Amino acid sequence: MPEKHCGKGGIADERQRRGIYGGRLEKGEEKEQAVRAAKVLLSETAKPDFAGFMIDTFVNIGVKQLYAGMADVISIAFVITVLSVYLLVQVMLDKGESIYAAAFCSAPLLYAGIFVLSWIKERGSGSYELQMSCKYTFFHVLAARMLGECFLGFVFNGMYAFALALRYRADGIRLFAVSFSSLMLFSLLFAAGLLWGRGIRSALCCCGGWFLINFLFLFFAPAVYGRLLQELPVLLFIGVGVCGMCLHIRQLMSITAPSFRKEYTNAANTRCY
Amino acid sequence: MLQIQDVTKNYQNFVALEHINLEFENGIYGLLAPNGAGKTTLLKLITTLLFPTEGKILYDGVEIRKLDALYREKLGFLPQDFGYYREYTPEKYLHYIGVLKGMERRELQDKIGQMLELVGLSEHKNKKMKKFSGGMIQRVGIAQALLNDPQILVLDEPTAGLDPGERMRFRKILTSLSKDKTVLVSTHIVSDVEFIANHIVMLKDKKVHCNDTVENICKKLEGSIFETVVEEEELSGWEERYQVVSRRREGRDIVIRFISRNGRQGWQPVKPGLEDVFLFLYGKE
Repeated sequence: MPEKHCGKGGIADERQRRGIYGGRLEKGEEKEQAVRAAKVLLSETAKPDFAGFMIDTFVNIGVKQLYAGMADVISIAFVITVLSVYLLVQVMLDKGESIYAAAFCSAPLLYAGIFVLSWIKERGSGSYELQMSCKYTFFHVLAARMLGECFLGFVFNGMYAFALALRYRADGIRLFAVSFSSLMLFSLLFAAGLLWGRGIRSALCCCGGWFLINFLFLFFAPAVYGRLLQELPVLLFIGVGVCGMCLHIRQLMSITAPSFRKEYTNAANTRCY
Repeated sequence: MLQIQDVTKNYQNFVALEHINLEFENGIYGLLAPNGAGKTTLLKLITTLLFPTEGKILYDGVEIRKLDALYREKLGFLPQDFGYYREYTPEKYLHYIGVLKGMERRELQDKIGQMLELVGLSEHKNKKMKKFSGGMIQRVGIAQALLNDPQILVLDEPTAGLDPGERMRFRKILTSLSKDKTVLVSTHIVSDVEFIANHIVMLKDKKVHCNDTVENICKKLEGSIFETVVEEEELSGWEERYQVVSRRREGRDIVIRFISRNGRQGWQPVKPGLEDVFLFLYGKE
């Protein structure tokens, strides 16, 4: 603390004053400084933005850490998805359904598979409490993984759209657009379930609901379902997919926000997750 | 400084904590209470795992809820049921937690080495954690809590599963850290905090019962703790009349340590310890 002349009595008086009250004064000054610093930092961190979210996800946490130890989960989900898609396509084509309907129904399978399996694994580790006390909480990891799963689903759907187009001489671009819009609509619904229900259970209910509605639609109105997917403009599917993606990223940012964490933990007071 | 201002926490209709007021500065604080008294709830509030129903928790004058990630960056936490990944090595696990704590990757590698050295796990850094004993797992937990050099270190039952040697080593680590950190140790094992804590916080009936130094807390029972020799047949009668805090056999007799407001001839007054206070407060719970 620099010494300065303080009028009456000067340095000696100031020293004496500090001798008596010094600890308290210094503590008060330190506290004020800390409060000021915190308020400045608060104003900087109050608004989570898209760039910040992407940097946190892909740079600060990083893809390697997001999926560290998840090779088994991804492999199992991948195998299940490939088998399911194969069976679904066979069954639907046998029933005379359109290949586009098969693509639309099966597009979110990889996303759902990885999410459910990784959640089971995470829950089994019991690391929720520890993760919630870290800078990047369980919800940051959850949101980042959901975004990663969208990306994986996008790549996988692109590949199988290409494969189906070759195998069944279908319109590859339409197949890809249909699967892209389906994946993004599913992701939107899934995250909406998480946000509204403040729990994984409600998200899983939405996930089940999506598949159920599709199968019911397919069962009761197969002609309409097939025609819609075959005749609606490709650009519409792409537009729906892009809008869905933008909205989904906003949802994921909401999942990492403190307000959602508060609502979630309050709702989770009586349950495990 | 961490301040808890008039905090109440309800779980639906159940009141877990009521009007808690506490201030924590640098040093070791022992949080003592029997199981179910609200220790873990208090720690969860401090670590932002839960949010208060009423009241505020402030760090350097700002609500921790508002500080959010800035606050959590300063936090080190060892939960009671410390979750880990069985297939991970301690090195890989600490790396993962370090990333979640927002640590710089360059700094992280050095810090992992230091922490493994500190908890005596350097030789086991490449072994999978599924092969570790309970004590070794707990040491990994301690290492992760210290990894980011936290300003506030919260440890919930940290010595569970540690052998006496490991406990001593752990206390040494805490003492060396407490100079410039707020260390909060929640336990129901009195000896864990009796000789290292600057302050003891005791919870009773969902409220703070006392918050003082070990010396001052023990002073309150001065002149009320006695030792006397009884025969085995008399023991149950003594236990009915007085709160017997300990007993030890000496030949055919039993020496009992008990609490009584007034002394009598033949009773040897003894200096009260924290364990006596703990048993006095919670003995019947």
